[in-house]
Amino acid sequence: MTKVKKITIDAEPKGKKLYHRELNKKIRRAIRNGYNWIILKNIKGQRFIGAGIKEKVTIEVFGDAGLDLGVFSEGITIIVHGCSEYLLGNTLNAGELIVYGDSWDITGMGARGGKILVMGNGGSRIGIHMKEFRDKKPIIVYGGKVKQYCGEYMAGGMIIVLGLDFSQAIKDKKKPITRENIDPKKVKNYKGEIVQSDLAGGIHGGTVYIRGDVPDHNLGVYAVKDEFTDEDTEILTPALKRFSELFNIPLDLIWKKKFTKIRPVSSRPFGKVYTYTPI
Amino acid sequence: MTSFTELPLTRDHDACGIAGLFNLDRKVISGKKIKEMIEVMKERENGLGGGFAAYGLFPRFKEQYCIQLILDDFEAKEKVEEFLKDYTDIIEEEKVLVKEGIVKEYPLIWRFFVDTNDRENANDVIKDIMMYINCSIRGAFCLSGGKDMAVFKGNMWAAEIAEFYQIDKIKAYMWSAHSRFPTNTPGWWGGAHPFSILGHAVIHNGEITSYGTNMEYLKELGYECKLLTDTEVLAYLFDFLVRKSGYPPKIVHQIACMALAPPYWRDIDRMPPELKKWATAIRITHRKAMANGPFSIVITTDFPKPTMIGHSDRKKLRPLIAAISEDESTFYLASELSAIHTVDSTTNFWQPDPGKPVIASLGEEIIKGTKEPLGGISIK
Repeated sequence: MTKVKKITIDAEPKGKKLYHRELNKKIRRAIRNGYNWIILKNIKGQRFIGAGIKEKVTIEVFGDAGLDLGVFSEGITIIVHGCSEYLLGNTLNAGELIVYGDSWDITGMGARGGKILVMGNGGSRIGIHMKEFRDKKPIIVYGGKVKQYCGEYMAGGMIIVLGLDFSQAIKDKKKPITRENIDPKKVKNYKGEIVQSDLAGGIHGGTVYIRGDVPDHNLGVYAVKDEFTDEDTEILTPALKRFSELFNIPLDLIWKKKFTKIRPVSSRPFGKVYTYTPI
Repeated sequence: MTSFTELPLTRDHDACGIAGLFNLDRKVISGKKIKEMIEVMKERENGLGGGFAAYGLFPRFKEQYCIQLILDDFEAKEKVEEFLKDYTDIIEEEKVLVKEGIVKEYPLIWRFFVDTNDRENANDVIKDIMMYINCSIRGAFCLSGGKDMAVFKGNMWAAEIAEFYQIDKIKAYMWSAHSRFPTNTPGWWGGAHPFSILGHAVIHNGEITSYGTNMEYLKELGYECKLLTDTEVLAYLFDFLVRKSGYPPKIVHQIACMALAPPYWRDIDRMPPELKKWATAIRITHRKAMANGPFSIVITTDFPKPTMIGHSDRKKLRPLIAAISEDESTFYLASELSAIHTVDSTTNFWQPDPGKPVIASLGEEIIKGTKEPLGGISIK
């Protein structure tokens, strides 16, 4: 184990919001100076935090992160105690992005590896164009609900949507949300549909797991429901275990509801649509 | 100090910033908050336009229309004044105070408080006056013409606009703010948002690709689109749908929003029978009012009563976050959550569903845009 060396960076020195390029410069300088745990205070929607960082460091964000959090990064761990805007983990290669809050549209766009774990709700087009190669398998876990086009054009990896409502489970709303600040007993299930229309529309690789039922009219083009087997349980367990650890909820509670598995109808569903395919 | 050897810090990104703030108790608040909200999203603009719309400004002239103009010179002002005298009684006029030294060149900004001669069709008269000034009086541009409201805009950074008009000294109960990143049309004073007609003001992030269709539809209805910007069609469409179409006042905003971003036919097929009938009727009747292309908008209006609406396209291609303060006194809309959290640390925030409007109307329950449209209201 390498020794943890912490540094705190104030993103609002003298009451003025630091521009994202300045902030990223400071982060990179801290990494060069041997710090491996960087705490960012007073973040107010700065974009591109941790962009392209290849070192195995941890960035802890207090406040609301802006667009493109952790974009292009390889092996970084980012923990956000607040919300993250759009394009969280855009083209992520490796690492772990954890959000104790909501993160809206286009999370994990074109991700090629790594894990994205979000406690709260998502927006549209989660995991669009996500892909996998051999051991590189991106995983997105959403604790709450997501909107339209979840897993659109997905080519690999895994998206899990749990439909858990954490909104009543925060012990002290004035403090930043951490693991300790979540009361596991007050976590509830969302009633009704937790995904919207066009789920996995145009999917041609990878799987989407939705906790609970998915009505057929919400399925996107070329997406089909598949039987949930023991093998799937095995695949899901590590990701769910990590989720339960991070967000302080018992694993049994997650397993209480059955999962719906969604996969592409075939390995090349669009083969005959756009190109001439001799058979 | 500016560096000549390094890349400038303010780089262009592709978005507009929008923000809205509405005090649900109708208490007037200073513009400081909305200024802070729009300033935090500085990455979203590139200094080619910013603007504010404010409601509840003129307690002395509540019943008069306030025609606020930007003018090239006094000659243009006299031309406007002469034109106004033909159709209205000018009750009062004043120069809008601005701060020197923010921008080198700026126009003359003037406002007239007027009563129309034709009281019955007052709204239509003012609408036509606004259209005429913008189309036909050289050197004059009408910013707004509503009651108890005004629009402040120009071709600068939003923060500079706030300084220029001294927004923090103005008090209003409803505010909207826009910082512009022009994509299709050049940045100019008239092209900045909000676009306003009568008591409606629209700020917009995105683009309306159905501009041509909408423009032709509006031409049939007597609106001239001469400002070279797609957003103006939204303002005119909204004015037509809300004021002229004669829908029940309680649901008129929801119907207008449904016409701008109607549900898909496949979703209409699954609706309960009564709603299905209405959604079909709206889609067919206002076929040409459908706004296509990515957009998220904030509409502020005083018709039929003060209302703030946040709306987006059906695929949610532009961001919009809504929030209510913990004491439920203030309603917020913004492109990014950080803008809301800059002024209020509320935990009561949400992202509205694609194509469904968030509507906060004075004295009514807030429609959060997360349920079926027109829900719970029976339409006869």
